[in-house]
Amino acid sequence: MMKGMLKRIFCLIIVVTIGISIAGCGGGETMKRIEKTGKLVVGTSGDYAPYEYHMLVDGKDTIVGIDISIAEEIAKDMGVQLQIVDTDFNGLLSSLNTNKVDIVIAGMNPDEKRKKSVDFSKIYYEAKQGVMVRAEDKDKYKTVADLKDKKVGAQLGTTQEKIVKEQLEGANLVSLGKIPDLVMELKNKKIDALVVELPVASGYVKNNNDLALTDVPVKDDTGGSAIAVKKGNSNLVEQINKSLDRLMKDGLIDKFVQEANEKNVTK
Amino acid sequence: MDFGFLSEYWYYFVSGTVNTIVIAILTVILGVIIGTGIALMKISHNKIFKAVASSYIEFIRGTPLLVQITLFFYLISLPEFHIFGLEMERFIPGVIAMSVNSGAYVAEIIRAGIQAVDKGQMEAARSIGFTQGQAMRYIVLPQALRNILPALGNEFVVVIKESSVLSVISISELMRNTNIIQGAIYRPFEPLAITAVIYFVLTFSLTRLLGYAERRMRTSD
Repeated sequence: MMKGMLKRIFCLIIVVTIGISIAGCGGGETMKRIEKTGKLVVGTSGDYAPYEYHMLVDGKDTIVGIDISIAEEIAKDMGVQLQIVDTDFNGLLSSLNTNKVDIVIAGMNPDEKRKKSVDFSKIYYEAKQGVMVRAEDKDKYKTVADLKDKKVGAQLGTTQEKIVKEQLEGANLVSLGKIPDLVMELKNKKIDALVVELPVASGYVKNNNDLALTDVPVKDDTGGSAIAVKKGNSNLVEQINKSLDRLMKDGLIDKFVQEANEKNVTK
Repeated sequence: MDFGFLSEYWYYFVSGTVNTIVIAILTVILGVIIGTGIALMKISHNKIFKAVASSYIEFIRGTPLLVQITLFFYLISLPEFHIFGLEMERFIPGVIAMSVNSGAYVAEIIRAGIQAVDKGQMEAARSIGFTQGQAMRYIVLPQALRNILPALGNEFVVVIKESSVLSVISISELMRNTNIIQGAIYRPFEPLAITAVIYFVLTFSLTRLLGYAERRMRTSD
């Protein structure tokens, strides 16, 4: 009787340990789904050139950009097809957690708040932040102190907004939902400067003679952009990191950045 | 000003314009259906119907369309599916919100149109043996239609313009597509200028068309 009891408890312990260790391995349900369907579904928000933006390719509406090139490489490494889903930036992480997409690539900074709901790959691109002003004012803004009491724009709910609040002391923050609207305000002298990511800023400077980048130093403490994966899929994160390592080693990501910047210069 | 991007991005203006027109037509049709129901409830003699219709009209007209659209979008959650490349899980709540909004205005248009028909018409119809419903259907409504149609045309114009608010829930109508282009070409102003022209052409030609129809109706008196 005692012996039987011990046996049962022992069995139970073994079963529980195995169960926990399997769960601890990260289940990898997303990976299984990708393998089953042969498709990697990537969520992105197609209004953030040069990371991802819409373009007509052979007469068809297509999303292109740095992130899309990276996604193509990841799909290639996994030997599956790539499918892009374009949604609102705000809704990206929830469609990841409801399994509507497998991964999210959208120039997303892995900040603490987002890390609570999803896992991130390693950082694939360290975007530096830049301060953009009107070309005629370029000489006026050299240090952070020059922006004191000036109106500085940033996109609502982004890392840049945090930068204005925390690093530009005395600057008045103007946050709007869309970068084009902020650029228009800058051009029309409604704001004096604009904090944006460098690849985005250089796109605007290249396409607009009346805009210029300053040397005002601003830092980004989230480190750059990473790929988001649903929690509990460590095998998928590993797979993505492997692809990213390869891309970074071969300098392909810098090439993608350059390509994306050249592709959509309209002049 | 540099419009060189048009060669690459014209498609977005075209598809956006088509979607805007489709949305406007659907909204007006649904809005008329809702509006007729609400208007009939409002002029009925049933107190409950009257109260429901009045509160509907007051509430919808007293809150901004932007708020209504975002509310409907969060309240109605549909599975993702596409028809003609349109994301229905966004399109359907958007059109419903627009229709519910338009319905309140249409209801007031219809009510005013019906009440503008001389009371004697209804009384005469009743006195020769029509029921209330028959009199409304065969005598009053056909005459009310003449008052209602021009105002409905104006509502169509309003809906075309207001549908631009749908861009906040990423329905790819004209305004949303403009935002896409603005972001892609790094030039915010030019796409917006083109969009303004497109909206104007749409509404202006519609107003002209309505003016023509109105004149034709008057001559048929």
